[in-house]
Amino acid sequence: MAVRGIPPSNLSGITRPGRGGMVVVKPKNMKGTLARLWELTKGNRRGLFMVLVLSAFGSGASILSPYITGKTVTMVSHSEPITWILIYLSVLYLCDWLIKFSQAFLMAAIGQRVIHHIRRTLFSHVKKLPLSFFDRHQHGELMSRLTNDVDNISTTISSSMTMLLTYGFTIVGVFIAMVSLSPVLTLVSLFGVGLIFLLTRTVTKRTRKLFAERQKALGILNGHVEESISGLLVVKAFCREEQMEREFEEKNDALCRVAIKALIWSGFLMPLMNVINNLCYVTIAVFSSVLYVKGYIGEIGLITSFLLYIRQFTRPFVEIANIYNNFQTAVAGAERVFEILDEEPEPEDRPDANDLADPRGDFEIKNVRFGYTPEKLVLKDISVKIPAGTRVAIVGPTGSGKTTLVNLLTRFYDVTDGSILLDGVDLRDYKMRDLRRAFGVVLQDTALFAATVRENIAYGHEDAALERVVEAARIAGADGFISRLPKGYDTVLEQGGMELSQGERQLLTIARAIFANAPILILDEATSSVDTLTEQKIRQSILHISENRTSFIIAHRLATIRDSDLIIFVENGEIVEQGSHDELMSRGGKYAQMYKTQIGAL
Amino acid sequence: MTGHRPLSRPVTPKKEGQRMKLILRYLRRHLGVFLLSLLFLTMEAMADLLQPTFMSFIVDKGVTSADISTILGYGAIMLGIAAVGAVSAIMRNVFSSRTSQTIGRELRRDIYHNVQQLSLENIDRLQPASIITRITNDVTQIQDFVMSLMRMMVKAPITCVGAIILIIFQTPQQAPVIIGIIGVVSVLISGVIRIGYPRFGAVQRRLDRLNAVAREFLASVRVVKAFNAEEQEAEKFDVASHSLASANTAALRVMATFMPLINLTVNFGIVLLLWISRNQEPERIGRLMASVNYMTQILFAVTMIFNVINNAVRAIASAQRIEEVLNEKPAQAKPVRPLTPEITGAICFENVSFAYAGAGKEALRDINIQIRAGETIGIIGPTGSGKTTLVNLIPRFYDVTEGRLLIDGCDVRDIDEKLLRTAVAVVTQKPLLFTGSIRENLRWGSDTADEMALREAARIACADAFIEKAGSEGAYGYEAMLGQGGVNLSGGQKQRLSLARALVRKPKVLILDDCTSALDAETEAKVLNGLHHLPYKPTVLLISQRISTVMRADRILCMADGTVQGYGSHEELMASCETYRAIYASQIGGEACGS
Repeated sequence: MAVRGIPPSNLSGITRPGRGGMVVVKPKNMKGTLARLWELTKGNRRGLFMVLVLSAFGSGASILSPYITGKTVTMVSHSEPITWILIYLSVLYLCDWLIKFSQAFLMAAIGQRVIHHIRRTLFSHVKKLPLSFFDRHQHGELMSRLTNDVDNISTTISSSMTMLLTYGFTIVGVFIAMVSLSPVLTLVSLFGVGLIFLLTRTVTKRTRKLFAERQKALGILNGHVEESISGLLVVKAFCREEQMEREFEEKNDALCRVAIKALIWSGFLMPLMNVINNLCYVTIAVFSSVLYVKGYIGEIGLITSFLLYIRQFTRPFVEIANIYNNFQTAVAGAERVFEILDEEPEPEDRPDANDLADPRGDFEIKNVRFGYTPEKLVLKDISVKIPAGTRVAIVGPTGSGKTTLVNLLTRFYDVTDGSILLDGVDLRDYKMRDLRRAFGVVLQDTALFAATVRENIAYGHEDAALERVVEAARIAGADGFISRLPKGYDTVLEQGGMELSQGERQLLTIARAIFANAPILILDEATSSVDTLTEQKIRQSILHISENRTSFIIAHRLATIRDSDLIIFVENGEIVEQGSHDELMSRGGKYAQMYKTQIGAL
Repeated sequence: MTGHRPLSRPVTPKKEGQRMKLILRYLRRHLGVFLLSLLFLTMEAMADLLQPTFMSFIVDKGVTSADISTILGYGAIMLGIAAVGAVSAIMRNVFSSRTSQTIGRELRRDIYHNVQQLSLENIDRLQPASIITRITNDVTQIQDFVMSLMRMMVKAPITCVGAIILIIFQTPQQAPVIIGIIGVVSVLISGVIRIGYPRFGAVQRRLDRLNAVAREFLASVRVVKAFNAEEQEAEKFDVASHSLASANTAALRVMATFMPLINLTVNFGIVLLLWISRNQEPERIGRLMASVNYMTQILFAVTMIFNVINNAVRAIASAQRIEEVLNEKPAQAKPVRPLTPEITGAICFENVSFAYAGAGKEALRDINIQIRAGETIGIIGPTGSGKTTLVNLIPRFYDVTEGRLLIDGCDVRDIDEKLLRTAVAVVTQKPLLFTGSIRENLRWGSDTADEMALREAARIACADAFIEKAGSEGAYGYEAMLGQGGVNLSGGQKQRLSLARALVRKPKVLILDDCTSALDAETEAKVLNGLHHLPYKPTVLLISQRISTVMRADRILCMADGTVQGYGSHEELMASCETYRAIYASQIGGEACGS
């Protein structure tokens, strides 16, 4: 549907670390979030500790090798033999290799284990959340949190942690080495670092706003593409191709303009940084040479060491700012994941909750009030008694609260006020699993799974006997088309049933409900999209299976309604009328009026 | 449209070079700027390369002879070079930002333009969701690639080659070491590509699988809960997540093995370099220092090449997907010499048959019906019987496979497309509205319609009442915004709004495809009554599942399995058409039949 598309932010992905500072999102509670992340690393901590230690050692080579290289140069210049010092250097490089290799190798497994663990924790929490959560959130957004985000976030956090650690040690180590070699030259380098710091701050202040603007322009453009392509039939029907292209062009140009601006501004950073780097390099080169010539420095190799150090010293400073930004964004991302973990799950069963093995199906709805939000009641004071085995039709205009009533029966939502009793006991006093098992449900949306037809019909029951599955399909009238599928009951619905027609999908969901063989039935406009001949078949089977079972049927069709024992007419969240077809007809109220309108010209 | 969707065409693999063609084609348009930025990039690389050489001059010529003015002189030159390098970097950045973003804009524009020209048959085949990701994600990939191409790709080889040449030039005895190292590094890189990329492919596939599981769970959460199947779904997710994690580990381990090895190779190069120069005369010590420095530059360049290859692989895949859309030709031909008849709304199907592309079975078979201008035709029949397909032929959403479809005596394929579609208004099963105000949405019907016409259309569609009440924050009624951040309408309200939009157009032919299904009986009756009394008397084709909706039509077309079962008034069909009688009995009930 065009109006409620996927939010464009999902198309672009939320965490895209990039050059020169993208949009940085600040975490609300850095410490707390990190502590919670640490909680989730349980079982992998020894490995993580190893990785952290290794990354600290990883800076060893960067600190020591310039010193050794410089020494070597001095020795060459003095024509001293350098065999031993080169062996030291080789050993150092080998150690460096070993450390880097084992760090990355370890991290590859540990990182993924942690990610898997977080994803699993998240999903097992999500599956317990009440329906209200899923109704409140965009599915596209939830999905990316369950899959990609966890991955991106953990990878970014772990890699920036190790890098921050390595760089931190590098900076300290290099600084000590530099001071011990020459305090004067160190001072010159510090001056360069200060300049870089200042520059980064000024540029990112500007670019941050520009990148946010670009993100917005991208969102607008993606939104337009989304709705105009998925609604192309309507665009064509109304000959709006040219207008759409013009609109697109405008948004496209706007994005292009702001993107160029953002990139050019952020692009100043690197070259300017390079200039400062080079400035430091040259200053040190000249300065140290002069010092050497004047005799303040004893060894020529010291110049080499220092020139190598200055590169090692400034780069981490530049990178750290970047890494820290990415780190912040990732932690903020983790906070969004934790928000989901903080959602209240469906209430636990009460400690003294009753088992519900084989309910009779007596319902009593007592003064039920309900609203999805506290301000707006959808159901206002509903009361009705339904004896076991009654076939109930719920009738009324769209938006009157019919589906909501069904949501309350299955405890997808809990009543705001009042109570619903099943066999004389409040629904909330039963074990949730038992209660849901008592219902066979066919819902408005025909949700099927990418599995075999057989698995779909026997959904929720693994290893069901084929005979029972076929039997259920036969009763639902789905047997015919299933046997025509390429592999019959073993045909895999690759696209979750989208390859079937709407009617066929509906027949499968009915077969699924029949298979569940539950004592209470709920059918929410179950036959709305099935053709009338098939519907007739389904009606027969519904009549058949709803024999002696309490069943709730939301239907528009008169024939289905008339077959019911009790008709409840709902309007504006209230029961306006209730009774059998004949009673309501003779009363001449809302129901009779609706019936007559539908019969129309008769 | 019907539930039967033809599957998307399998992608035929092409040679890498050919796939790059798309990117090259767009780059060629900006060739001047591209070359200019390469020039600046080269200058930038040269500037980086020259620094250590001048450093060696300082050491060899200044330090050894204790000549401070020489030292300062070379220092000044080095600063000058650094400045040139910085200016070059800024320039190539300006050019690369501009070019990459402009190419992105052009690609998006061209894809979008082409998609707008395509027939619905093409769109069915490509699938809308897939087209959308091509315009958004795939273009971004290419944009990023062009950017990195202009920023690094050329710089890395120049730096590499330059560094090698300079090392060999300044210290010729090092040549074998350098060549050896380059050899080993190339072997290592090709190793990563050969062993690593298939594994990254596996990661992508498993990520898709995990996404599919999550999407399915979210879409079916009600069913999952109703059937107590949470554990089952969690297990599915667990398996998918675990297999993704192990694929990732395997891929990352390839990198963990090779990357440090490349590092080690270059480092050993430095050791070898020093070893070979162990007997260097002191006055050439500067050159030795420069060589060491160049080795680190080579290492840096190699890492960059690695990144670019990574980007290139992704960009090539994206280019291929984009090319597919760009190469798609409209399935329907535009008339060479379009006719512009005065359309009154008389429609005639002559031996019409139709099959969806790629579908074996015909969706319509040998349809012969005549519809007079101004008539109201009810169309009824089981799902999949071809009702929607039939009406979709009228505004030429699809073309007949056999036979002819005439409007006012002209074959629709010969009529000017715009004229045809302006005369025919369609209200689809699924109401589709667009971001914008209610008024803007209604204006789709006609840009020139005045306020009165809009209100009148809304009134007939029974949409006036809720439009008045719609809106928030300063935009109420007809100004209320729909879509992101705007009001969300119920299914029935959307249906009425899309009906009003069609009525604004005052069409000659009005097609209503089961578009009152979400309305309650009372509102539906009111809407139908309004349609009956339209002053401009269009031909109305009214598809419905409910027999009570079509019963009042002038004539009823009863369809089943792509063929006409009966065509006539309610009474005639009750007398002659078995299918119609069966539908009637199922909806109104057996005993009402006689009355």
